[in-house]
Amino acid sequence: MLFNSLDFLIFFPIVIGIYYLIPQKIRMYWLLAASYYFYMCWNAKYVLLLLFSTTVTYVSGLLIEKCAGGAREEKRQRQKKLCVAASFFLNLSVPFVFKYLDFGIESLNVILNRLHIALHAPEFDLLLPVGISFYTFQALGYTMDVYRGEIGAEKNFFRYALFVSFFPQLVAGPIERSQNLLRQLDKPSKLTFASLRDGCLLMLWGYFLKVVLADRIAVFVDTVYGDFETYTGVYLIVATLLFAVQIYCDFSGYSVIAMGAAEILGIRLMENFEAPYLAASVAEFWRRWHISLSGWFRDYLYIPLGGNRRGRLRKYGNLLITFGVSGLWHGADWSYVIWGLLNGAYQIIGDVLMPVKKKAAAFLEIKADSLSHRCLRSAVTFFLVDLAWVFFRADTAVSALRIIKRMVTAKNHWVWFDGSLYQCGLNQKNFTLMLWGILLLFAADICKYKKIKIREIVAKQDNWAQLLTMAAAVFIILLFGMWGAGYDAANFIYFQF
Amino acid sequence: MKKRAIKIFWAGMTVFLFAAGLWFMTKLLNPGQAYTKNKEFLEDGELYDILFLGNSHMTNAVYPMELWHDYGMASYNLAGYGNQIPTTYWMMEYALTSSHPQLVVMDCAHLKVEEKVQTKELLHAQIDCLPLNQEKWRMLGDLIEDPKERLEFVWDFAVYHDRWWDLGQDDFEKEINLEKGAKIEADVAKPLGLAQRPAQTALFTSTGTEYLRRIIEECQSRDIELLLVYLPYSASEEEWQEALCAEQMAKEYGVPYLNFLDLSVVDLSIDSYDPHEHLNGSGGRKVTAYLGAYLDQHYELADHRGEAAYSGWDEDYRRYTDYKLQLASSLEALDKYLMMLADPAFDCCVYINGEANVWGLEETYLPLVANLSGGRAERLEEASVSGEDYFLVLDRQKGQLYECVGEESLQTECSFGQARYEAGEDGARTLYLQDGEENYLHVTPQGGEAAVQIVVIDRETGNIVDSKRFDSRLAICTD
Repeated sequence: MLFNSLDFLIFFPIVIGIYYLIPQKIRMYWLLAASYYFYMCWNAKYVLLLLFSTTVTYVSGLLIEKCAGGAREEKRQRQKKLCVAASFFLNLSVPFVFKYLDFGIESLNVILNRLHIALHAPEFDLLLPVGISFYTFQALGYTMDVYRGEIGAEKNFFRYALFVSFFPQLVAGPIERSQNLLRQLDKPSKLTFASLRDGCLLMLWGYFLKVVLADRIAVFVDTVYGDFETYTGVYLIVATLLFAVQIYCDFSGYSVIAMGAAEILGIRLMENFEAPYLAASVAEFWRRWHISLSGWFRDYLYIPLGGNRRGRLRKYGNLLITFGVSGLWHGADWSYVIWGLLNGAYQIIGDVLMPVKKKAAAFLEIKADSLSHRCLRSAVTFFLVDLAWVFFRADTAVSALRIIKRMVTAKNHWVWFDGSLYQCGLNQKNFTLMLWGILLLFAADICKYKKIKIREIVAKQDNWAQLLTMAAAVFIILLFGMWGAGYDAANFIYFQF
Repeated sequence: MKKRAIKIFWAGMTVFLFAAGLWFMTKLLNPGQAYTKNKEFLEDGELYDILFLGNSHMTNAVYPMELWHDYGMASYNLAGYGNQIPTTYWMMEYALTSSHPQLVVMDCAHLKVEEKVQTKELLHAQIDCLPLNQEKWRMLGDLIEDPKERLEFVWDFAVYHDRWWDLGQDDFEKEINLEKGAKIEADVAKPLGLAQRPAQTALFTSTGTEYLRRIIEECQSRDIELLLVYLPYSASEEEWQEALCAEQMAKEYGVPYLNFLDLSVVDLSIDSYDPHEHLNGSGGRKVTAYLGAYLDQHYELADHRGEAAYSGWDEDYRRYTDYKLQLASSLEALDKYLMMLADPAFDCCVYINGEANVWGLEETYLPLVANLSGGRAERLEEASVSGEDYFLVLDRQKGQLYECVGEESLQTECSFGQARYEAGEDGARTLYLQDGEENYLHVTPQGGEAAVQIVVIDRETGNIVDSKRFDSRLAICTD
């Protein structure tokens, strides 16, 4: 069930209505049932995988906690580690089979072929369970938190099951921390006008990002990337620039809708994006982009690997491992791995060049805190991140290289001016609307960057102004959104991960 | 308490404003084909004695306003582009909720088709204007398999919100169909040609036949007379089978049937709008004239002319005639213009320059000039063979036709006033009408630029309503 589908627009009000009508004691069970139904709408059988992951991490949590008492410290640690390892192994075996097995076999076949070995391992072509990477990571985060003693093991299986399957963030995040979500599931806030308003505003903003911007931009990007042999040079440059906005709107749109839906249910989810394209370095970008995942990798992979505590070389190695795995998390293809490694490499190069940059800035008398310098750094960061997105968007790594080559070598600068850009799926009016939308997003991100909360500004207005703002937002989304008949609601890009 | 009441008030206002805005935009964004075509019927379905049903064949072939003018018959063409017979069945069912016709005339084209709906877009164009009621709900339930897809027919904003960028004057000032649901097409195409009548008739069953039976049975159960027709077009051998199957079914139910493929009512070489399926204005007028005479002869249909309930229809006819003239005037190609003038509403004078190579295009233009007079222009061929000038005056009011060839002159009293055509030996040609001093022909002794010159007179008012000259090479209007 997509957030921008009619099913969800019927499902969600029913869930809220019943949620607030029934006694608080049983609300959790209602949410759990709704969450499982939400997941089963996509593929009923795969709910077993969700249940498997839930059971494994629930039991491992209890076992880890049990290991905390009784035996000797060394033995306890060994037992706890064993539980964590078992939980990781069992949990990761599911995405391994469904997501990475074919990729591994395919890669093996390529190697065997190169070595002229006449063996061909069969591929399984399994349907990828929606959101598997998200709920697996959330559940594993819980295991780690219990192991580290940051949270006690959850005794109530149903509450824990709801933590793993909470439908607003089940299939595309944010990947919530157990400390934050489990606690709230225990005692969700009551419905207030403020939470309803805030939730609705968030959802509307999310829908705007998704159906007005992301899906509109997708038309252009898909046209150009779908035929990059024809659409070269400027077309590819524009499409690549727009893809950066598309994936941001798509993913952050989904996250914001999830936050809004949860807010209405009295649950506050974490911010997943903090104006990432205003970041002044790639490292800062990753502190602002998909924060819940970046934080997960930082806390459960990068730091356990040693982080930056074991020397510079080890730090760089850890960065590359973390970003390589992050790439693999996003997709079972070498192009994703390259995308991840590229982002890791940017940070390493940035770190290595830091003294040089500082000296150059001092020599050229560039003020590090000036707006112009800040803008320049943001522009460079955007350029680097966007270049890496080419690997993310292209079908294969080879295609990505060819796209970059065609971007640079093709000479068709007149395309900027002669209206050809309006022939790529979006006519002039749609293209203009898209640009206005991007401008609005930019303004909203600047507000976010400056810690100006637009929702609070709306909240300070009279009731009529608040209501009219929401009504106008709905109207704009309905009118300008890419939805409805003839429009095959494109899956949110992040569903495939 | 007061605070709460104010909150509720503002919430109510917001919902109201939102709903009003949405309602306005829903109306505005709908391109309005359906609204334009069937609005009149939906406003007062009780007025109509005859309903014409079918698909585009019927839409382009039968003109209710002509039947009104000629016989005082009150009819409406409810056929729709792309309608398959199941769609037609449901249109009839819907129409019968507000109308009680004496006769239904149903075209049986597409009888073999299994699909209930050709495309969703075409169905939108047909039913968007139908207010939602139980019948429309049943219609959607039957025609659209996926319940989710039905919603777009209940609230068509789901389809049309995407066309905000396409809004224009037409959307703010939606025009109403002046043809009582019909559509005159103004083009002339070379037809594919009508296949031979098959020797064997194979009765088949299909979704189309199933619904045709339902239409017949529904009409019989409601005591509505039904006339089945198969309208003329370049039917293939397979399509002939549909016509013959419909004939068998009509016999089976004892329903009258007219197979126009068997009748020489139209000349497809000049009466086709496109190569395969549709009639143009000339073809439509012929079918309408034939059908009008048939209905007049075989059914006791009331002549409503002069009745108070139909007081606006004469004005409707006037507007309809103006519309036809406007349509003809907008055409720049000689063949289309000639086709449109083959209309009893207009008289005309036609001059053809013998030196112009229009005579070299006999196959295209001469049949159309002959068609103007209903095949009575006897000297056309003579002029064509000799390569001399040709002049024709068509006075339909009097049923008269005057022709001049070469240097012959003419002076005659027509229903629209005097017509004086002078052909000088020096090659100059003049035409004066209604005792006026304006020369309508531009042919000097040095010759004229135009190959064909035409003056059009409104038969009802006698006013000269249009005058056009056509280029000698491309037969394109040079005015």
